[in-house]
Amino acid sequence: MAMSNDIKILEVLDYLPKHIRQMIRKLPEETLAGIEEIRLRLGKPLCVSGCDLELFITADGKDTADAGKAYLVSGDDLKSSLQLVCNFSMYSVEEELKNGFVTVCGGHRVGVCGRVVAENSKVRTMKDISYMNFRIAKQIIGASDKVIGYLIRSPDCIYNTLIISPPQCGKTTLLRDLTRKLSSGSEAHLFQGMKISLIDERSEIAACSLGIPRNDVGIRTDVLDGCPKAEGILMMIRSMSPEIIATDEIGRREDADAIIDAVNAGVKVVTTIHGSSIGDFLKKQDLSRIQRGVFERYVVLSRRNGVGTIEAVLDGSFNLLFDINQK
Amino acid sequence: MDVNLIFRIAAIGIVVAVLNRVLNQSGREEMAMMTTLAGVVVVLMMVISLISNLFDSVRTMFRL
Amino acid sequence: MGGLLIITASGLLGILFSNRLSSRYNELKNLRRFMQMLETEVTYGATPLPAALRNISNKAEGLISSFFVCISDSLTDRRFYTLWDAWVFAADTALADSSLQRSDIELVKSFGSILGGSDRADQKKHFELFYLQLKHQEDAALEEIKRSSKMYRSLGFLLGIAVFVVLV
Repeated sequence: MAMSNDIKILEVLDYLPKHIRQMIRKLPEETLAGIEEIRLRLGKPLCVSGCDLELFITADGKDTADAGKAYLVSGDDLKSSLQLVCNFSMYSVEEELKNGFVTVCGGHRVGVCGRVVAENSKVRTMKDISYMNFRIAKQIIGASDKVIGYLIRSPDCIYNTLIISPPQCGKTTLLRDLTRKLSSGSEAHLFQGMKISLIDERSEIAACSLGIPRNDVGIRTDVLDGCPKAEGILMMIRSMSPEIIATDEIGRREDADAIIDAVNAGVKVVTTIHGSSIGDFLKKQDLSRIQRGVFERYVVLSRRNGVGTIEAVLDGSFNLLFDINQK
Repeated sequence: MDVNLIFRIAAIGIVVAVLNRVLNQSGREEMAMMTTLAGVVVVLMMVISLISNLFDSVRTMFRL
Repeated sequence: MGGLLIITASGLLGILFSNRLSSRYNELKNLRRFMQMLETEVTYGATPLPAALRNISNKAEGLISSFFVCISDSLTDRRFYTLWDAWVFAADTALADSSLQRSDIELVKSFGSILGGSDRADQKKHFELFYLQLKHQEDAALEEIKRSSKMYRSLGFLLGIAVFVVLV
């Protein structure tokens, strides 16, 4: 049951106080469609931004480039918003707050910023939240079209793939669409589809709500929602006999260990990592076990020509298969 | 003289006595005292006309 | 006849007052019981409040049930944007017809200011404090029953008889 992108922004607006919601809804359709982030900052102008736009919103719902005319966000607005985002129950998002963001229904990430309460150098919780950033998650069907050809080895097999991308460049969107294509199959590429286990730790890829994925992630996909990656990978290998494991944002040693286990069990892996080049991946010491001999394809993303621009595709020995500069 | 009146005064007396007991037992001693007082006032009001007649007859008897 | 009517009416009034005391006690006990269920949902299940309150209202009956349902519904319908507002509204409407005294209702309202506002460990502590305060009110209610329940009943009938005797 995939949701159209126009409804996506309405999902996010549901977490804003009524008057702010009305202000944003008054914006023209094209503006609404282009919004990727809505930011609330205490005492500062209400701001929305997207790929090519950054606008301040006035109290009567008009966009303006002049910060002076914009509506100033009040403490009550932030309080109400926070209550809505954590469903009136801070204790239910305790773990997520430690990471600085909460994922709400629909897979949207709401970043929060305020006073951190630390304990033994670890974040215990956050209070006095004065800054909130609503990131709207959109599903783009076809995001993987340009890249999937490089990742398919045979009608029933793929290459272990690592997607390297800086933040906000569409890595999650790409992973989501890739999962969908690899699971449901692709006639154009003579690919019949494989069983995928998706470990959706932040509920962003499938955006499950009450067990039902809000995004289309493919017909042969099993989704493990909200589970820490390392454990999730092991659980799925033992229980769901996947042919591919898909997960987002690996970075810790345990994640690398779990991936090695998966590869040793004969399961293919598709995953992502933060970084802007292969060099960034190779510098991460925690992932040293998987830096050689595990991945057979690397996809590097950027925002050069918009979100989801494919900078390069490399094979397991780091030979360039596709380079945006050589087109 | 109305026998009825005597019965009524007696009934009020009993009621006041029981009320007194109940209120004292639950600790409301001021209320108990008030009910006793109220009982006396009510009875007086009931016999006020008789008392007035009594005084009149005594007065006339002594003026004789 | 008229006299019998007066006496029974007055007597029933006395019984009514007496029953209010015992139903206050029962309501306080019920409240504590269902709050304990809520605590389990919150501290063990980490269930968000709208769902947790609805789960418990299904198990509860009467006033407490309608109190929880009122809060849950007004939050999901977005009639209120904070738990505090929804909680106070529900306390003023759903609990208005209860036998709870003002001090009891104020106590319930004050709990709404901290519910859902901190992590599990902290919430647990607040729940514990709330139980202590509720137990205190319960004990006071029990005391009140021992003292006054019989009194109200007798008072009702006796006053009825008194009125009857005076008027007849």
